[in-house]
Amino acid sequence: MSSRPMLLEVRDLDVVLRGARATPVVRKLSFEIRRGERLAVVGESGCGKSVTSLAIMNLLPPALSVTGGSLRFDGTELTALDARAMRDIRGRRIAMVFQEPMTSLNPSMTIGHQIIEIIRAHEPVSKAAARQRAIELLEQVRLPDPHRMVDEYPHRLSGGQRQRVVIAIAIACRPDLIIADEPTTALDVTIQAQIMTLLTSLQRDLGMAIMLITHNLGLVAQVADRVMVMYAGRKVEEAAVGDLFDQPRHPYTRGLLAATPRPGRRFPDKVLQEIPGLVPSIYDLPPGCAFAPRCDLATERCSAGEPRLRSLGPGREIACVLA
Amino acid sequence: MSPLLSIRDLVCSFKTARGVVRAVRGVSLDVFPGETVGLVGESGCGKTTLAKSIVGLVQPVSGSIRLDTTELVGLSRTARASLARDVQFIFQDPFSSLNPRRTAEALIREPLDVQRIGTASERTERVEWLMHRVGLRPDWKRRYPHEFSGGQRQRIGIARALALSPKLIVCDEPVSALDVSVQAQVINLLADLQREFNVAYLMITHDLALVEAFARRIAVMSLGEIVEIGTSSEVWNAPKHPFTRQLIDAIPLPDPARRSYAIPKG
Amino acid sequence: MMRRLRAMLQLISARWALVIGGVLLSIVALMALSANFFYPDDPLNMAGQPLLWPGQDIEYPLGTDSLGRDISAGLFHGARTSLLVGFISTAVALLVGTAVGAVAGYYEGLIDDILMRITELFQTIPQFMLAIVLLAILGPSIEMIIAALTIVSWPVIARLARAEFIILRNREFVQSCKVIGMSDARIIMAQILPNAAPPIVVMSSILIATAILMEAGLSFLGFGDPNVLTWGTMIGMGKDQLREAWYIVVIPGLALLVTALALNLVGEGLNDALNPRLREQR
Repeated sequence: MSSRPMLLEVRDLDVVLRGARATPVVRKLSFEIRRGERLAVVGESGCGKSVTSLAIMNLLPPALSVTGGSLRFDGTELTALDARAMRDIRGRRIAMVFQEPMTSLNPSMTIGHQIIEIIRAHEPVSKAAARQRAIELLEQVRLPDPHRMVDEYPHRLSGGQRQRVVIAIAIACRPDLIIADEPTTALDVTIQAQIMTLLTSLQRDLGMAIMLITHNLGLVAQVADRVMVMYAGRKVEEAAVGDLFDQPRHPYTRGLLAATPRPGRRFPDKVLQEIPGLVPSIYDLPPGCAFAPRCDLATERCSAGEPRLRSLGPGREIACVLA
Repeated sequence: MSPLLSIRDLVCSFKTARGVVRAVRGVSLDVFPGETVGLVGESGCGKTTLAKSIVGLVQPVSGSIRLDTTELVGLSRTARASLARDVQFIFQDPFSSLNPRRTAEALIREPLDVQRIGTASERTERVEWLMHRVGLRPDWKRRYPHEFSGGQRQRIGIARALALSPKLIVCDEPVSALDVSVQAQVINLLADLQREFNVAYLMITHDLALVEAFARRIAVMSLGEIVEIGTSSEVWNAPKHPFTRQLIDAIPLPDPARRSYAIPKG
Repeated sequence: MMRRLRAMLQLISARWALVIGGVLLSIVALMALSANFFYPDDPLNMAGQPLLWPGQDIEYPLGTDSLGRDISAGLFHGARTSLLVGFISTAVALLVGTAVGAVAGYYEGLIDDILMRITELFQTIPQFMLAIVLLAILGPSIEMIIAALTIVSWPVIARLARAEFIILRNREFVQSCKVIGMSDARIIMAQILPNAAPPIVVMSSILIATAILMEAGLSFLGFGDPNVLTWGTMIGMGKDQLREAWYIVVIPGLALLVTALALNLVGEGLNDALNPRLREQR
């Protein structure tokens, strides 16, 4: 794990929501992704995981901005790049796969056209060569009949097929890193299995790294090498996937795992194990540990100050005073 | 015990741009009083159409839906309206299923107003009691849907469905749009309410793992037909139909030691 | 103190269209309301020396026309007529148009087809021509002008209402009301209509402006009520003196411009005010 070269280094990332008061949405986030590895970023609504990926790609909406920290990609500081340099990186070296295949594809362009566009945006190839590449890519993502598909319009495809096209576009320039933000949430579970298997085998074959953003712990267990758990804009735990599931340390991680339905498991007085309360609003974070109000182990120390992120070993971190 | 809801050979179809689509092709299903039946399937299998036909939002082409002894298919709109007291519906999207211009109180009160149950003050009392029962603070009753979180909005939807004390609530993916920890809260709430009021649920979902713990029986639907039905442990542990097996195999288990996805190490 | 001032300025600049439009409209409304107070006589009567320039005589601050009629009296009374015609015709068009559009959009099918064919019938005939023909048949009185403008304006609202109802009819909250046994009438009036209202309200502001301008056009051409002085009639009567006494045309012309502008600004301001909240609520 640590023998692989470093690819993405995020240090103390701060993202803020503009408004009457600047409200922090991501707070002092630090993590790494090495070449070829699969990092899962887990959390529920409002934890900042999607915002983080948009910050890396410099695709934040106008209301959000990076106010601190560093994003080093293969040695280059991304926050210092101008728009043109960032455009060069986007698509060619870092690619993104979003949740909604319906809106990720342009409905008025053929699939082939969209793939060709991205190839020719980054590489000086002829249209014919790009078209040939597009057909090969459609084969790689296991779409049936690629010679015909290349001239089809998105609306004629199913959700799963569209997501394959999105993946084809993502790998078109053989990026070093793919950021997949809930890539299968909108898909049926059988299609999800196919798409995730495809994504991970492509990732291995092409030597790419994957940052998988999801709330589905089942997917995490099946796919990830390492896991980072986020809550209210901060990292609260990080571990290798086996360690996280065997010995979750942070109460929130434990709560999430317990709340995930496990067929065959029964509780005497309830159907599922729940975490009481709600995720706090970013405008109204509780003092100290953001999870304390919902934590059954919370003590006074927890509300006194925000717990520091401590290292428990290589790649093992926890932000809890009690763990 | 005779079934509360009895569906026999139900057929639903509708016209699309590409011709007639038969979404439900001869489905038969029973729901007994106080039990939860899970209806599982993937998108396009017809489960939502079936659910909507039970509450009259879709008119079946043929077949029968009986609630106790009353035949629901072919009922006039007015007769259907009075049946609202027995069968209710919880929608999937907690945002779009609530009128954005109504307060929480107004939304929960509407069924009582429409069905003319109780006096004005009795209705107010019932609304407060319902809100409390579903875990919402009654002093939030003047807030609007956009002021609540997704899980809280779904609780409003549950209170609204419960207002008329129905015998059966059809739940269409009631927790799919919610975070995992909130899903657990809402499912536990539904189970509590069932224990207390003996209400039956027909729970439509694509999440087999979720419904396995909650439902007594599970029906698996594919392409408009029910391909398997049994108790939840039967269906999970000894699935007979290949489609059920496919569904089960595709579910990502939260256990890294048992990887079913064909992921290579390294 | 400075912070409150800044907050107020921020509010005003965000809603500047509404504020400016509202102020202008209020001025015109005040003129209309005080017309009988300041100028109790019929403005069509001769009042003083003809062709007096504005400022020449204090008693006639805006001058007189070729027949000695007081221009400012005409301005005030014209305001009254214009606003009356604009508001009443739009109000009735709103009622009729919303009703037709709502029913067509909610029920679809045959009812929708029939109602839309009728709507289209009224829409294909050019508005101005239709108004002239109607007035020729019905006779040129203020009441008939209002009727003609109503007939010409309702189809646009019907189309808009129908579009909104088609979208909202399939929303889950409407389905939820059907499930609890709500009648169609109640669903249309109490559930869908309040949600469909914002774009219709915005459109009606524009429609009032259009009605006022159309009435002015009709009066200018001589199709107006001969017993009522409106801004359009004033412009019509002053067009022969355009070279020497252009104020006779310009003053009522400016009044029309300001009123139409005010209404458009209010419409735009309402659009901004109503839509973001709607987006938030949706």
